[in-house]
Amino acid sequence: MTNFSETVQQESAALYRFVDSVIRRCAEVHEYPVFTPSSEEFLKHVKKLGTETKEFLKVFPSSTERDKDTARSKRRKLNSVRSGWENLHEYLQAALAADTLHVPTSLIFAIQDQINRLEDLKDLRFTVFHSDQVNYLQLPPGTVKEAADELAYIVKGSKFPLSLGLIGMPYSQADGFLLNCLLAHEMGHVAYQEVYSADVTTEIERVLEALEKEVGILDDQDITLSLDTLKYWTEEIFCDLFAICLIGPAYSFALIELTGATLLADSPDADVDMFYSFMDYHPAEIARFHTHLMLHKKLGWWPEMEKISSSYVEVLAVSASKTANVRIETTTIPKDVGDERFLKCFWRIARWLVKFVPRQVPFARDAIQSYRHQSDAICESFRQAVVPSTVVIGGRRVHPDPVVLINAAFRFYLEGVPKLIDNMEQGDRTSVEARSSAAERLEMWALKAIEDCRLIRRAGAQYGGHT
Amino acid sequence: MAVIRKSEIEKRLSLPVDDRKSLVITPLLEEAEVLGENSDCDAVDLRLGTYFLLPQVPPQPFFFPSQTFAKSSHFRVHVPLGRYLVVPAHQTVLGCTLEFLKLPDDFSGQILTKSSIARTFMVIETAPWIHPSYRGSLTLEIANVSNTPLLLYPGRFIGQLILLRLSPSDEEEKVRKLSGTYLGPVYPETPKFKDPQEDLRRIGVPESEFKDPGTRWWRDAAEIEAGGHTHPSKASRKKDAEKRARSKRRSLSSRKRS
Repeated sequence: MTNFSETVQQESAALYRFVDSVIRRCAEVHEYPVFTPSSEEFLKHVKKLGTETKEFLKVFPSSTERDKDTARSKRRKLNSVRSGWENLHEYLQAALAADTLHVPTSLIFAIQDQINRLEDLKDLRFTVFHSDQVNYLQLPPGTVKEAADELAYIVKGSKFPLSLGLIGMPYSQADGFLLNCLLAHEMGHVAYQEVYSADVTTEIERVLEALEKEVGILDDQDITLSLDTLKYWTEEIFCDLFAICLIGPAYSFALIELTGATLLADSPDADVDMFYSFMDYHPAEIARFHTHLMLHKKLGWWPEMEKISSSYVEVLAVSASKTANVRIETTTIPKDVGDERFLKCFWRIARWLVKFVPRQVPFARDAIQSYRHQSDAICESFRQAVVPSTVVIGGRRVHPDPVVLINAAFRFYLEGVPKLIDNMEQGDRTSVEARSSAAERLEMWALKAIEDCRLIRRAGAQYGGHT
Repeated sequence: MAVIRKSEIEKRLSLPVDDRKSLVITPLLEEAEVLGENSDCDAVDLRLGTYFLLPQVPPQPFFFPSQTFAKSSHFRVHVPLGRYLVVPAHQTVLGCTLEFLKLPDDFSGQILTKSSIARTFMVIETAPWIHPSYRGSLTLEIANVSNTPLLLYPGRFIGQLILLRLSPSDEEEKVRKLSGTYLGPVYPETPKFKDPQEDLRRIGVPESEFKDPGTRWWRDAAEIEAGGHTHPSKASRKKDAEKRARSKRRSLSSRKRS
């Protein structure tokens, strides 16, 4: 006959051992490696929750398990605790791998500093973890935060820290700069969920109401499906535009690099049809680039971007003329509405976002003027293999703003790397290896310059100020 | 050669980077203090950077100065401002300056341990000379030669940069291209060696006269780099034995043929 008390004790002990082995990994974090403060916060929280779970498990088995029903209910509770820990287990190792030597710390801080300039988001911070996907991602609250809080509710433990976003980046980009500009988009997801989603949802509902006036009342299921699909698409557009407002055109260039969208500039549409498809959760890339173009023009970046001789700029330039060819490849669109009308709804919201997002980020234009004056000098520093945290313009030493540095570095990547190679002994601009290694150096100098700017600011000098 | 004064340094810092005579020192934190009237008139104080290479105990009983070994001889750590690194007594570590430098093409430089640091028996440089047109953070070969563990705080002044003007040349100096070996480092970098037999071959030492420390260690280092074993594995020992057996068989069969 089953001894229920024994079973619960056995299972509690097994779970105790499991939790202990998980949080031991956090306990191994001493002086090295070093983590960003927000990663440390995440690791400390996991450790604390682990200790609380262990305390809970110590007193969990009791004499009441003699009763079969109580034992069953207790075992169910244990199961919930276990699944909560299995969830945390998945991300803990990935967060431990992302120490300050293995994430672009200075770039993360620079983007976070920009976000923290917004009153509603002044406390937002990010734990970055490594992902095995060649993509950037944000963990929606349900994935870790809510699971951790459910766990905390059962074990009467601590709640997940407020305003702590979880962002994933490809482990291979650990100390890179260029692609990591995409982190701004993922941080945008956290900002969207914390502050802006209500406003955007209201606008989507307004557009759907207008649609109903056109096609007649939609049933509840159609409305829900339409709302959800538009929400997914517009959140992506919002995050793109938010990223541009934070760090400028470098974000668009990074997205073009990641998606390999340069093909769009000079290939027949049929060869690149993957860029024209609206999927369940993502709008078509070409539509995203078109909204980028609209925003770059609105903010005033576009005249500066047009001067850059690169296929990346051409992609953005041609996006406006190519958006007519997009198509929807999701089954969630109500039949009565039709793809064309639904796309019209999307574009109405996208155009609204192009106005809405810069209103939320009042400093979105701040760096353009400085970029205009400083980017040539910064690019010349890169050509000279010099970190451009100080550049001389008109006989005065100037410390560029991180956003100016980010965009000038991307400009140099797009059109200046061969000039750096020409400046090197035995430099061969036709060699792929030479180009790759020059780009790697450029990334290193750019990250160092961004880090220096933070130090200069902390030491009291002003961004863009003269010394 | 003449030591460059602070006023000349300031002038050079204000030249655009593409000017061959320009000097870059960045970031120059607390500039007023570093370049101000109360600072030394012939030197610029430099700070300790936040990245270090710590020597690893090698898997072999010596350090073999070759391409492969140099890469596997250290591991990197980051010590942010506010934290410290302990250098045990009689131990060494590679660090670098927080400042990135670009020297003009008519200046050489020298980095010296700051006297207050030197008095704790910490030595920061054993290769202190900086060539004209050099660019990069300076790698510091830091050695604690005292009997006490010493703490290093990144961001604090650690060295002094002295600049010297080259004697004038009769001919117009050619613009020198950037060297790719240590191009613009911002972290301490591991030494880049060619294999010693290659260097020695160039001065006429035949390979047959070159004494290597044993091929087994070479292969092990390659394995370490590939993420393999740190000690000769059973498999590699078995492979060695098989190789020896094969070569024995080959020599026997060639003897038979002859």
